[in-house]
Amino acid sequence: MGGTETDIPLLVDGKRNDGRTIDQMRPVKIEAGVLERADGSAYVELGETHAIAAVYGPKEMHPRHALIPNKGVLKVRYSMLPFSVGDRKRPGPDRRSREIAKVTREAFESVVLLDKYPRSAIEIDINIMQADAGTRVVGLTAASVALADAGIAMTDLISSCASGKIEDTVVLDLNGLEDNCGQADVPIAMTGKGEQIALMQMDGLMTKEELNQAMEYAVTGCKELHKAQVDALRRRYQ
Amino acid sequence: MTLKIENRQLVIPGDQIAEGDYLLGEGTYREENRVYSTVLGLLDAKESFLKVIPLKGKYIPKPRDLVIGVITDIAFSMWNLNINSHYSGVLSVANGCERYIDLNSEKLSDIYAIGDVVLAKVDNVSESLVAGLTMKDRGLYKLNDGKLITISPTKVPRVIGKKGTMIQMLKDNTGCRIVVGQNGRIWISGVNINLAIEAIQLIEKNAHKQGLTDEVQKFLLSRKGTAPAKPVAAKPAAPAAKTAPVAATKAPAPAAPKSAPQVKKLAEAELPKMKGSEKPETKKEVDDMEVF
Repeated sequence: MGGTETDIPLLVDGKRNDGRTIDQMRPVKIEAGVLERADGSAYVELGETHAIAAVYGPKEMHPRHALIPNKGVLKVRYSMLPFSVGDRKRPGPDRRSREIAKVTREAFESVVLLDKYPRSAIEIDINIMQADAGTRVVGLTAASVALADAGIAMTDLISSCASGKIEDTVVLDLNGLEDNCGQADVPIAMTGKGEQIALMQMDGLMTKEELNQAMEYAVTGCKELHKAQVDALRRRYQ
Repeated sequence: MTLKIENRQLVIPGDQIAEGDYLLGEGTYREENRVYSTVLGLLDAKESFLKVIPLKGKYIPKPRDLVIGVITDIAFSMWNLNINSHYSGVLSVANGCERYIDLNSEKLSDIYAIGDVVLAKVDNVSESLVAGLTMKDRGLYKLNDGKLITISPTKVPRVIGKKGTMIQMLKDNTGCRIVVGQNGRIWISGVNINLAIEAIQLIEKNAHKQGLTDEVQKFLLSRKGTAPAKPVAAKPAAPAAKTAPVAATKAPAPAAPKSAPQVKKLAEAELPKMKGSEKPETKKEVDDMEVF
């Protein structure tokens, strides 16, 4: 990958440009049930990346021909809001957001008990309000809390975070600068029990050893996020 | 056989509930020897039986559920109903009411018109998201002159309470007639509709908490000054015994000489509006039904 050149040193004495160590995640904030009108919702902040997810359903499947008689269908919409990035993003679906919606849907298909909702649709709506790398993982984390908040049956929550490579070093949770100028980005989503991987992508190049290291970091990151997710859902019913 | 989470505690999808040979109900699944939760809810453990009572979710009709539906459309020989679900309700002429309906001489809209609210029972649920309803049973009728509110269907059991204690208390303290459908719709009629609604909203908001009956009772008693009790004479004899403890803890009847005559006037004003199905004679029968 290589990315864009930058004059800012990304890694000095094990410290990253925002002061974190290599295995430290950005501060997390999760809130469940933030929207009154949606059936379920969640707001997640991971550093400067902010996402809000809403879940509707189960509801009638439209278009009718796309329904599955013996199970439900997940419909995921991922969208970066126009003001989420420096140069105003043209609103509407594009190639990138369709790809992210697809991988997000596939991640949730592994945990949501779709057999319980025949002929129905469950809509997941992810909006990125502010983007600073890792939008798909933050969106996934938010959507998972929103699904639980909507009372949808699933075997487990999904937590998601990314590892990456900057200056030939594997680090946890890239920020925007590291993502643009780093060498690799590996978003990973895991089930809460930490036994299954629901999503894994890689952009850039890594050796086998580096990938193992990246996985290890991401697993600890996901565990931390899972704790925050559970905490957010509990707080809602205190 | 060990519980990992205390009974009545909040569980989240993926939380391990127990380990061992339990019988599993709704909201749980087994992986090898371990039992996990699938929904956000409260654990309900009874000896060897485990289930999770969800805190949120849409209504999915089950046969024999009592639901309150709104007529949305009339077809040649059936009514379509909105039953607060993604399943649509269908009431066929054959199940429309106890008597025989002659399609040649009667208009279906004269029996139930679009917009009418009816109390019906789920007869069958088909795989194509259609709930077949029936009104051919005692205590199933059209609901007139009341207020319809909607709460989360998962909170209906709390509104009814154990063996109907909560709903009985609401009725006793507000003097309203209250019908609760499993689909989250609640129909209220009477003088103190607003007090009943406030109490139900209090239940909905605190549905995950314990000791809810006491809290609601406290709320109702604190509002007694503005909300006079139901006239004793109107109460059927049987439930009176059931509610005796409630009456005992009640403060001595609040001195409300001002409000009492007012209520009487209001009650009288309501009377001419009442329609056939709301005659006092049918009332006892209705009371039996709505408590389940």
